[in-house]
Formats: sequence, structure tokens, C-alpha cells
Amino acid sequence: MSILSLHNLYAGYGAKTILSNINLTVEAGQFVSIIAPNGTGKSTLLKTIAGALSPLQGEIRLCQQPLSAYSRRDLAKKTAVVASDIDSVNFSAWQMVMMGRFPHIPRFSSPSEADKAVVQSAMEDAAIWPKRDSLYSHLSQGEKQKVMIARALAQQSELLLLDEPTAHLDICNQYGILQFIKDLAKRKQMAVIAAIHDINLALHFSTHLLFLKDGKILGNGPADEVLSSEILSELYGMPFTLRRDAGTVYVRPALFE
Amino acid sequence: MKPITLKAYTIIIFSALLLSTIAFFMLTVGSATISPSAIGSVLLDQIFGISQHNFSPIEQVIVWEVRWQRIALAILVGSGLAVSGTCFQTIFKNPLADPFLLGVSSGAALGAAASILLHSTQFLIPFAFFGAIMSLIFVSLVGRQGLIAGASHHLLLAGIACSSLLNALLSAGMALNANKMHLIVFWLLGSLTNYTDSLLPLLFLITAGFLITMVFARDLDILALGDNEARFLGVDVNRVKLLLLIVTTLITGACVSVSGIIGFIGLIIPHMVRKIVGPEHFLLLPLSAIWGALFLLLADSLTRMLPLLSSIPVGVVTALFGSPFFLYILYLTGRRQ
Repeated sequence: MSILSLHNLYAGYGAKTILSNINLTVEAGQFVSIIAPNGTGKSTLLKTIAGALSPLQGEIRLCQQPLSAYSRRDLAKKTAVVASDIDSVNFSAWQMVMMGRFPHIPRFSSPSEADKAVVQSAMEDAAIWPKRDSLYSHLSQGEKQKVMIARALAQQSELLLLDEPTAHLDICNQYGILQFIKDLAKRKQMAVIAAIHDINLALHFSTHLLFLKDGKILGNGPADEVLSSEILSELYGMPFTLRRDAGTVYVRPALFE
Repeated sequence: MKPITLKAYTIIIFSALLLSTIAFFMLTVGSATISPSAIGSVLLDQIFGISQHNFSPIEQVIVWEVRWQRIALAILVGSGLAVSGTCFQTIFKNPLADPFLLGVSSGAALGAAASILLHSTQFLIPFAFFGAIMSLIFVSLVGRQGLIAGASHHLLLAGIACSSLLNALLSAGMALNANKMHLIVFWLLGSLTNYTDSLLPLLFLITAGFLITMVFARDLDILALGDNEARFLGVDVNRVKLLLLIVTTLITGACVSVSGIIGFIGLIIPHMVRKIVGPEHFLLLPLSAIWGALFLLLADSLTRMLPLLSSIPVGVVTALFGSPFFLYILYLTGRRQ
């Protein structure tokens, strides 16, 4: 089932068009990695899909409905965002994750036992429950990322957007978190779109790749079909080689050959 | 219940008890000696209509019309300003944001001054409202880009410029109407001595405003994380901010119309309370209201109990105690970083 579809989407800020003619369909259970050089519109694309930025032209459909038909609250029930920069406030990890329940809690009610149970299972899933009473600002980068992912889980959305989920993480946390997201997409049949800089990480964990250059789609499809040294060379303007090792594909710049 | 929440509720209940004790004690302070039992009877009679007839009419006038007026005013204005300050600091994500910096208080003061100059003091509160709302509209139009894009300093700078302009107009109005200067000076310094017959409307406005901010407590929590985060979590950021700004402006306008410009409460109290109960607005707002009331009541009590301070307006006292305290907080946070 298609969770998200973009038709002839143009997006940007006012007169400044950053993305043009984007067509994309994301199905439940897919993990799409956006591979793009810096400043080519990754964040603009994520923001536009998340509804924080209105499209300049074209259509976005989320679960068969136009994005513009959703209220803020209903949108947050469908789409969860793990952003990379959060203002530091002294909330505890538990309080941060409880905020994910905001769109589900009616205006004049307080969090119910069911909401608390959802928060607990989200935090247990993300392996951050033992840190529930720690202040968010006191956690390590890896733990902060887990809290944000637990919050997204507590939203019980169908689409998960991640903006550089592995930035500032050590290699162990990078693998741990991406593996977790991969399993999640499969187990809960969520659609995941992540902007990831490390091509090898994206290759290992995602089902689909989306190459963006100068605001246009350069290539898009299942990872093993769409990846080639040519497309990477065109994307980054430098030569790349692909290597296969026991069935796994590795990418490295060809500068050192 | 989580221990931190339990601790916060204990503090809130304890503070409320402290506030009522001090308020009752202040009813006994004054040049006329009135027994606590007589005071209690007057209060029962006036508030609940339970009459015990063990007080003289003069005692009733002193307790209810003079002392209680002033204490009730201190409690209402103190809590209103502290709640407004809490909301402003979260909405603008700036620890220095409060109704005064955004020119809202100056607008209200200018509106009130205009009603004096136009000989229509019966319209004091509507005029103050009008001034406060106009300055908020002016400031948010000028700093609108900032409000939408989340660049709060735009709006703060617009507020500072606006309040300078309004204060200049106020000074000009005073200079041109020297015979009414003393009345207008009152709005600049802040005082609780003026008799007002608008205690009930004030109580209604501040309570209603406070309840609305409480309904939006979770929205405020999320807004503290940043505007985009709030949008992602389902907060209708622009609408919620606008609604809360209008509510807090009305509260501020009401406070200024009865007491003039009393500074530092909206700035200091939220800081202190945040240190104690954390950033959750569901606890932050009620405790801010109680501590704001306590702070203003204690400041006013000082002017009543110390002969030296008796002729000093309470706005000057809050500034005298408030600004060094604020500097101390700045020093502490600076040292921690």
C-alpha cells in the first residue's frame, strides 16, 4: 500500500525553488535513504513531506489523502519526524517521549494509562527505558537519538522521517540505530525516509535509494537496482568504485585506486 | 505518581498555604488595631455572606475596603504578571521576554494615561486594554517575519523600539499636562494604593486567562523545543502562539490598568519556579501564579510595615529587590556554563 506519493512536486522558500519535478512513491515497509551532496534539498524535501513547508507546486498524498487536507494534529498521527537539532530544555527522557502522544491526547484530558503504556513500550523498543528519569540534556548523543526515535514510535505514525539519524554517533550506535529502524519498518510496516550521508550505511540498511542532485531526482529505486558507480560519479563529481564482498556491496571513492 | 510531580504538588500546596497565611496576617497590620477574629468574621461576611456581627462598621470598612482591596490587588496583579511572563518566555524562547520588554505594558500605560487626559477615567480598563492590544499588534506586524520564521529577536527588538516610542509619548503627554502629572506618574512607577472598584472583573479576567494557559500547558511544553519540533508533534504553532499572546496581553493590560507598570515579576518568578519544578508548564504556571502573588504581596507589605519605605510605590520596591536578584540569577547561570 502506498503511504506517500509525490506528484510533480516543486518546493522551496518563497521565490526560491529548491526542489523541482519530484515524483516519488513510498510503500509500507520500505526504508528509503536519500543520498545527496550537502545543500541539494534533502532537508527541504523532508520538511515539505512533514508539512512544515508548503509545496510551491504539485501534490503530496499521504495515505491516499492530500497533505493539505490534514490538520496539524492528524498529520502528526500519520508522520513522525526525528530532526537533528532540538533546543535543549530540561525535560526528562520520559517527558520527551510522552510528547509523542500529544496528537492522540484530547485537548481537555491528561495522558491516560494507555498513553503511558505506549510510552513505556516505545522506550523499551528503543532500549532507552532504563534512562527514563534522566534529563534529556544529560544524555549522550546516541541516547538522545534513541529518545527521539522512541518519541516517534510513541506517535504511532505510519511514516517516519529521519534527518541524518546517524550524525554525531559512534560506529556502534550508527549500526545499532539503523538496524533498529530497518527492523521497525519491516515489523510495523512503517514507511521510513531517512537522509543519510554515509552511502555504505544506507546500502546496508535501506531497501530503496533516492539520489538527489541540484533539487532533481537523479535515480530512485530498490538499492541493488539503482546503485552504480556512474550514478555516484555524476552525483558527487568524483569517481567511485563498487566492490562486492560475500554478497555485500561496498562503495569507495576511486581516488585511492 | 512520579516523585518530581509529588514534590511539585507539595510545593504548590505549601506555597498556597503560605500565601493565605501572609495575606491574613497583612489584614491585621495597620494603624488601627483589629482582632484576627473580627477580621475573620468580616471576610466570612463579605465573601460567603455568613454574618456573625462581632465587628463594627468602621472595622468592616478598614478591613474590607482598605486592607483587603490592597492585598487582593497584590495577589491578582502578582499572579497575572508572573503567568504572562512564563508564557512570554516560552513563546519567544527568550529568558528576557516579558510583557514589559515587548511594549505591551507601555501600551497599556499609555492607554490608561490617555483616559486620564481625556477626563474619562471610567474607561480606564478598556483604554489600557486597547493600548496593550494596539502595541502587541504593532509589534507583531513589525516583527511578523520573526513570529513566523521563529526568529524571536526580531519581535523583541520591535517590542523594545515600540516601548521607547510609547514611553516618549507618555512623557510628552505628562509634560503637556503638568497638572495631571502626579496621576500619570503613578502608572510609570506602579502602585497598589489606588482604590479600584474593578476587583471582580480583574479576578474573572486573570482566572479565565490562567485557565486558558493551563489548557495549553502541553502545547507550551512542546513549543519550548522549537517551532518546527512543535509542528511535527501536531501543535498548530501560529494559532496557539497568537491565542496565548492575546490572552497574556489581556491579563497584562488588566494588571497595568489597576496598578501601573510593576516590573520584574514576569521576569524573575518564572526563572525561580523553573529551577524548582522543572520545565513542565502544568506545574510551572500555577506555581508561578502563587509565587508572583507572594512576591508582590511581600514587596507591598514591606512598604506598609517599614515607615522608611511607606511613600515608595511598590513598583520601585520590586525593582529594588528584583534587579539585583535577576543579576544574581544571571551570574549563577553564567558560572554554571
